[in-house]
Amino acid sequence: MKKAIKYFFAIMLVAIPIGFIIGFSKAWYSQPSITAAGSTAVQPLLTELGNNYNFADVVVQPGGSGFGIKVAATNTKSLGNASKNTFNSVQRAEKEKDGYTYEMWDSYKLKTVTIAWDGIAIVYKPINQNDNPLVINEDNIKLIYESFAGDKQIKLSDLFIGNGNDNKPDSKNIHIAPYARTGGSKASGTAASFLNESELVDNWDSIKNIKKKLETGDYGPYTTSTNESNVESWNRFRNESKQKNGTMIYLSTGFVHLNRKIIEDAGFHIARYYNKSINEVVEPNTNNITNKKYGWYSPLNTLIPIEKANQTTKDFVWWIVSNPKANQIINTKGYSYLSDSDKALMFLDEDNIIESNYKDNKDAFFRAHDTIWNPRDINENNEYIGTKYGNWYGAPKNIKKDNK
Amino acid sequence: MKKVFPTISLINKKTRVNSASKYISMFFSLFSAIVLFAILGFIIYKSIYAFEVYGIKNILFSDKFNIASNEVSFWLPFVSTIITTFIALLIAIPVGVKTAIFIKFRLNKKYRKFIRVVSETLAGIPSVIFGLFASQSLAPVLNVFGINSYSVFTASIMLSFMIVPTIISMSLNSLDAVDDNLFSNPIAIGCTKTRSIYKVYLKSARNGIIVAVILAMGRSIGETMALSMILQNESLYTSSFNSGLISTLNTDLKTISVVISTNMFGENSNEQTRSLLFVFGLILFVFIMVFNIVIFYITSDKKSKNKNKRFYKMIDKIFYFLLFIPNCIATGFEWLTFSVKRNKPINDNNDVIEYIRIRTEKYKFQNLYTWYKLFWEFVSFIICMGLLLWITLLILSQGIVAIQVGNTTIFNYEKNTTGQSFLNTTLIIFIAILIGLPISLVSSVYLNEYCTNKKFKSVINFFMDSLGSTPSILFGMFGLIFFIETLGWTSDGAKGYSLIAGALTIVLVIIPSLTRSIQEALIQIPNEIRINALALGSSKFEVIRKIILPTALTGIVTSIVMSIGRILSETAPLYLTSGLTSANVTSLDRPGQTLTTRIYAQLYNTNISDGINIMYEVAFITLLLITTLIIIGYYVIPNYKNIKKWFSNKLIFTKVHLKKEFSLEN
Repeated sequence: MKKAIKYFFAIMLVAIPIGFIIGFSKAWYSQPSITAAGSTAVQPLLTELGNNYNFADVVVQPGGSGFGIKVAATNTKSLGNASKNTFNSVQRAEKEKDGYTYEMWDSYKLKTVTIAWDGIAIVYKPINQNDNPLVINEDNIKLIYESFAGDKQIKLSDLFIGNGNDNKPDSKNIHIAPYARTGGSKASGTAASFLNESELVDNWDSIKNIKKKLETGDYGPYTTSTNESNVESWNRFRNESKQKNGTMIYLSTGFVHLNRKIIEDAGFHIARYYNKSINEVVEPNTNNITNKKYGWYSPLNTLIPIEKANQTTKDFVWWIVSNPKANQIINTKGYSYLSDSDKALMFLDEDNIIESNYKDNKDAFFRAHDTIWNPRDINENNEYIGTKYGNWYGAPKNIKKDNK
Repeated sequence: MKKVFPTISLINKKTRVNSASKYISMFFSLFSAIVLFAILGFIIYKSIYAFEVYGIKNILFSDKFNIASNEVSFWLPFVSTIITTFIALLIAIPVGVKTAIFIKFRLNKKYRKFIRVVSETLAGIPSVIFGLFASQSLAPVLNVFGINSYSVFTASIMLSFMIVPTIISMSLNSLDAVDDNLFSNPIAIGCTKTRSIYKVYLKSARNGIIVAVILAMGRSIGETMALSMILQNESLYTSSFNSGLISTLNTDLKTISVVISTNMFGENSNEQTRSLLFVFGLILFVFIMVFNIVIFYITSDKKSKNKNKRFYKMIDKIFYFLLFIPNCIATGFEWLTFSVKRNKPINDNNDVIEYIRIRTEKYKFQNLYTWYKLFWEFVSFIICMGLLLWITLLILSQGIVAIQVGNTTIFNYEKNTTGQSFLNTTLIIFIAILIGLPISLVSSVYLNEYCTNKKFKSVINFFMDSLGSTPSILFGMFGLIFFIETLGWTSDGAKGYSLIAGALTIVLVIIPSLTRSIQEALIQIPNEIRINALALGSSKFEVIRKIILPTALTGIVTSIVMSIGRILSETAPLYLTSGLTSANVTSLDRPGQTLTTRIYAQLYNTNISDGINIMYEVAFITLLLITTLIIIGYYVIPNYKNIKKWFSNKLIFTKVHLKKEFSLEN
């Protein structure tokens, strides 16, 4: 026994250093690594893109858009991810409070690259399977927000008003039981898209209090809070819907797209969206977002500090933007890729990049970082008020062509 | 000279070795103390900013909670923590202790070890799996009784399941350590077996059980992942508490550790939010420390009771007051059932003997106590085993289904596969135990054997107990900032993540509980053994090496197994330091998914059925891993000699056999 212990220690003395050397030594075929962190909405997509990229080892960490913007602005990770416009956060950043400042952002020449769009889909449990699905429009969106704020019970049948909702179902006594993300839009990216990106509310004044509740997550008693991830909120929603009707939740369209069969088989309806400009009722799916028919979506951005980023990182970002294979991966994961005309918007206006020739202009792409045009020319609603279109937040969602 | 006085040089050598071991162990315990204080200092440093911004008034003296609108009362989520922990302990302590007694005294010796090993398997199941189990399998059962699936009550029951194994195995250890005479002596003077267990034996095992309870409480206060899958609400604190305890139990209010972990990386959380969460962690730490001190004083031995006589008199009076009515009922019951009245006054011993004889002969409810205790022991045992069977069967059946249905990656070792995460996990466990065990073992030896300064010892122990309950995400933040952002121990410098950073962070997480439980194993060795060995001329170092450590082996193995369980169930510190996804190659300087973080990563998988399948597949592998490790810990290591003998016998047999064969051939 004693001998055995001695031998054991002797072997350990040799084995441990060798093990450490082997453990630390780089493998023969080791690749350069790219580390990204930030929004939980971007994480699965960027991970999948990284898995299919052959020239670097891409590791993506979740952690919220706020964290993503911070790591990009302080250059503590190669890439930062955010599922929202970076404009407002950066303008208001303070060193103590946020860990970075506008000046740092400026000096590292941050570029926001939109890699895909992800939408919001409303899923609810109808009384009758054969009813027509709800169409969301300018008339009922405020009611939906009001019910998610949770202070007032609203009947499901009351939502069937306005364009597209011609056949009102016979569900007079069923109240909506909303499932909102815990912490509101301040804590959840999905809740933020739900609140800010619907494009159906022109005037928030009449529902100021409701908006505040949805922002802070200070929901009333009728709203059930769920965790941020789509899987968890869906599981809870489905389990509890077995016992009650009128349950309603917002999920990412990527998630709904991939699991459409499961959702519909479980007896839920997916609400459709009324697009005023083309006077058409559209389904929430990937194509409709790419074509900009379905308006309720937000960008999935990755942020690259051009001044500090190495060539590997730049190559990866450019691969996402320019390679058709990337588009295909984005689509199979349920997200919507950017149309070529949208991608052309991430270049400088000066270089005369149009959708047909953007792929040949890698240098121009990285020259166009966020602060070449004065970003302060954009107002609070992210509308450009200067003379030229800037490249502040990746591909802008609502480009007004005449502005350009 | 040497030949003439060999003893002197021998003694000199002995003293040298002894003092060397003393100082080395002191160095180790100081090192671990410094590390723990560094973490505490880090938490304090990080929380300064939030104290400045929010002010103490907002944090400690307000009754509103909404982080987004700067209402940050500590108490509201903390009440939820207290409720869940209290209910969990209320269920787990009786069930755990009674099961331990059942295993120790009522079970056939043959099955004792097996059952014990089985119950410890439960301790190694990752908390994410418990969360999955509670929301998918436990909740429908509780629904029958009208309890919400996602409620504080469900969470408390789940928590009690999680801490029962800790209580069982540590109670068993402390029961094993009690002198067996304390069991046989009461029987010799006429007590029943049950009475001698409960009235004498259990009382001497009390201190060990208290440490078990403290550790279990630590785990339930600090538990994050499993609870965050059940408790999801942080907006209805005030209205729920106003509507009473019963309806609060039916809501899904987050506990303080869940608030800390879910908001740490919320969508818009910034340095200010994170600083606030460190404040919460700090207050929680202080609170737990105060709580531990109170427990320590209430339960301390009579020796120290003399110091605070007045305090204990007060406590005794309070207990007397509280138990006045139950005591009266008990006395009344005895008067009713024992109908033989004492007619003549007791004058001498013979009268006493006569009285006792009559009383024992005529006492009709003599066995009631035994049956009552036996009943509850049996019920507890059945609950534990049923629960274990439930979870194991769920994981096994779902795991096998998942392996057959899904595109299994168990035998793949590429990026983000189950095989690779298995490899990463074993690597992290190996390194963490390799580094953590010597530190904990040596410092607990110092604290228990060498340290004469009682104050130093108790201060360190209090800090360890309190840090054990601190949400581990705070350790993860420390690891992230120290090992990665400061030291840059990754392939990508300060930007990356690495397995080695994860393993070192996990070392910090397990040191407190590992040290405490090893200490407990050492304490349980009777002092006489030490005194006798010292009297025979051995030095303290020899006593430790040759007597104490071998005797405490089972206890130490239990502690290691429980630490491995902890490593397997930790999520937050690992994904913050070693990453949520893997690198292309498995290497210590690169990020890597462990089994638990792989399960956690599936929460963000956009494909539902894939995600669930991977979760169960990984849980299945984890269960196999923990079972293997436990079997090694309990069967292979203690029986090393026998196994070696068996092998050498076989070897000799084959040699002889071969020789015979060859010689025959030749």
